Amino acid sequence: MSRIPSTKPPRFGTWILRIIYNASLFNEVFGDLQELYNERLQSKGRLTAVVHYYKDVLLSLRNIGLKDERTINNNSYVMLPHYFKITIRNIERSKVYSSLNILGLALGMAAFLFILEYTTYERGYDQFHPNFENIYRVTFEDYRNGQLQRNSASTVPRIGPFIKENMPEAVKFTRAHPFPSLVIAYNNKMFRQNRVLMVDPEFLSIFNFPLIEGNPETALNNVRTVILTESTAKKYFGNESALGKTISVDGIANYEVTGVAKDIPDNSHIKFDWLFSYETIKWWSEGEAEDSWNWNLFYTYILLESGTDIPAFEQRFDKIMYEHRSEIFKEYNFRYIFPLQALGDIHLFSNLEWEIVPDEQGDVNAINFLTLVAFFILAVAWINYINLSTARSIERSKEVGIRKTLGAFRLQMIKQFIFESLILNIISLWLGIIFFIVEIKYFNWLTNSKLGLNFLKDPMFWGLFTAVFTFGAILSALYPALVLSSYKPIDILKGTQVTGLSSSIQRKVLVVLQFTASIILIAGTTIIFMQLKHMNDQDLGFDQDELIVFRGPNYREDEFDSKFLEHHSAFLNELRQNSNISSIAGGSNIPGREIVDPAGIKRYLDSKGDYKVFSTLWIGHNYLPTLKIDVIAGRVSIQH
Amino acid sequence: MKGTYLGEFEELILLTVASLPNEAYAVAVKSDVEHNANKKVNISAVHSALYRLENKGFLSSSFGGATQKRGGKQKRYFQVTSAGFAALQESKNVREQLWSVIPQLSFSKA
Repeated sequence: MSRIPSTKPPRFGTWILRIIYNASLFNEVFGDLQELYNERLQSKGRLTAVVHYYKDVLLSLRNIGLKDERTINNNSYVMLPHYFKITIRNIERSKVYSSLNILGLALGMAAFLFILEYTTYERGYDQFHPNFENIYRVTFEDYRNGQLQRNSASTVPRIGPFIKENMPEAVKFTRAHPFPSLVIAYNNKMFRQNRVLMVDPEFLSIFNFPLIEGNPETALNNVRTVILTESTAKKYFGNESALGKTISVDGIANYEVTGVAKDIPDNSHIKFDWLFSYETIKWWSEGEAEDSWNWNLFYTYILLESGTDIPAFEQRFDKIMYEHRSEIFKEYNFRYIFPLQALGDIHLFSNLEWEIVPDEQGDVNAINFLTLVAFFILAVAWINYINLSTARSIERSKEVGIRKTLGAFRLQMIKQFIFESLILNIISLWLGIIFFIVEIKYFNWLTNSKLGLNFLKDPMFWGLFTAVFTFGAILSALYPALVLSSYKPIDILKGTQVTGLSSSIQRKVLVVLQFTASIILIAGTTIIFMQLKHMNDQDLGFDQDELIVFRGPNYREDEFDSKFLEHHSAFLNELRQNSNISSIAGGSNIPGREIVDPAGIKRYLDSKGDYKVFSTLWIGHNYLPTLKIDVIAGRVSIQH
Repeated sequence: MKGTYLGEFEELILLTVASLPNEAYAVAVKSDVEHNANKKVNISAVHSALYRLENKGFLSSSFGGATQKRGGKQKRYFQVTSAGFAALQESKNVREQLWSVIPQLSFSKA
């Protein structure tokens, strides 16, 4: 009786062979080698067979990387419609799970898009001017005794012409002098107009504020000529053409309308309803608006040649400036410096005194933080997606088992799950865009902002979005795909528990991550909410309840003494007749607004002391009690 | 065309497959080559050549029966495609062309 020889070649060799050949080639190659092994086993004995087997295996190393083009090329595309069908069926079969998963992702994407839209809008301020990269704002630093007293966006009117005269790189300049309150009348229509700028003619060529009517070359060349925006024109003149009409300003002088500008885009840091010619302010100020080195309420913009080295320019200009003014600087121990600020940086990066529209200034840190939050939310949405997908893996494992038994390779399974995930992601994306469009309407209504779908036109946005989307979709698909496809058919079909230890640990990590992120976001929201509440409840130092404020009419300086006091006391007397009014007071300004009256103050007895600049407020005798402002020291009410 | 080039060993394998209709799988090809060419050939070289020829389109293949000896693994049977025959024909033509112009003299010397 002979022993039945083992027909299995040595395992180690087989193991190497399995590494050399890919799965589809392995079986047939292994069959061939096994056949040879068995033939040698019978004819030449075990030792020779084993040695030759190893020789065959080792020589097979030459076939590493040999591709089996039969399987790789044919299947993947053919299978796509089938995968699509299976995806749809899976969605239909477990509606709750699928809708949860898709909705979660869609909400995350909507939030992501929404925040991105907001930040894109904020970052895009002033970029509608074609040459915004070469436009700079001249800002103003005023040092007294070497100490910075004033660091403001507005500067002195002489600086614009001075730069143009001394710096060849400066192509053009324009000044803009804001005039906060003018009563402008046309026939019987009389409105107080707060958004008035007095600008040089170059304003229209440096910036992109196109005129609908009028000639931009000449519209602002003469004294008492004005341009108004389209909607203001509609308010005053209805459907008539505004061009050539005469308006009256503060009842003092008549002005001619020489142009109508298109309404200003919302993302412009310069806002106006009226542009008055610069000649007008020169006429008002008797030339001071051209020559003054002290009057500092002029926003000055310069257009530089492209490619100008800004630090070098600033340095050179500062030297010229110092040489020109050094006598006065030395005599009064002060110093002016005029740093430049790129137009595109003004909205987010500038935080100076006297911004042109202070309430609208943005904050780059807030914008960066929001961007981070947006990616955070998207990441949470994807983690959630991964968790929901893997949680359902037991259900899908049967499908994996059957497919593998029928001959599916692991790679194919991975492809299937990634494809499925991409489809779910795309559905979520569309849903997210719909959410976003609905949401933005309410947001605009709630915050009175005008966010649009502008960013959809921005190629940068699409590049970023496609990259993030593809990356995220594939990454979120990869993990479920790898877990699901790794199941062994024999385990699944026998009903053995398939969720291994490792996958549950990974899922725990993801759940912890997701919860941490969610809690951080929720906590952040709560803190912001409480901060706002705290701010609203904060004791402001005065009482604004049951308080009404009227703005007084405008007076010319020469009329002020005679007319203002007379009108003012008549008005107060009239009000005192009303028994519903408990207290009346007047003042040059109210708390909560920027106090705009700078005055140099020094001790009376201190003959050597320097003047320090303070913001001052002129008040009537009843002002402090009426606003319920407490006084730390001194008398509260001074009756004259 | 780069892909249509036939190496010497490849040609040998292709001819062997052509001479073994319906039974050309790797082990059979190996023993036939060894018998005809009278030299030892390793199975891995045969595999390499067969799969390369198939990827070039000179061979097509289908699965055949498994045997006990093979541990139940199926054989892959190869067949020469028309492109394969064309390549063989071309190679033969080149050789005949060259033979026909060799002067008879050189034989007598040898």
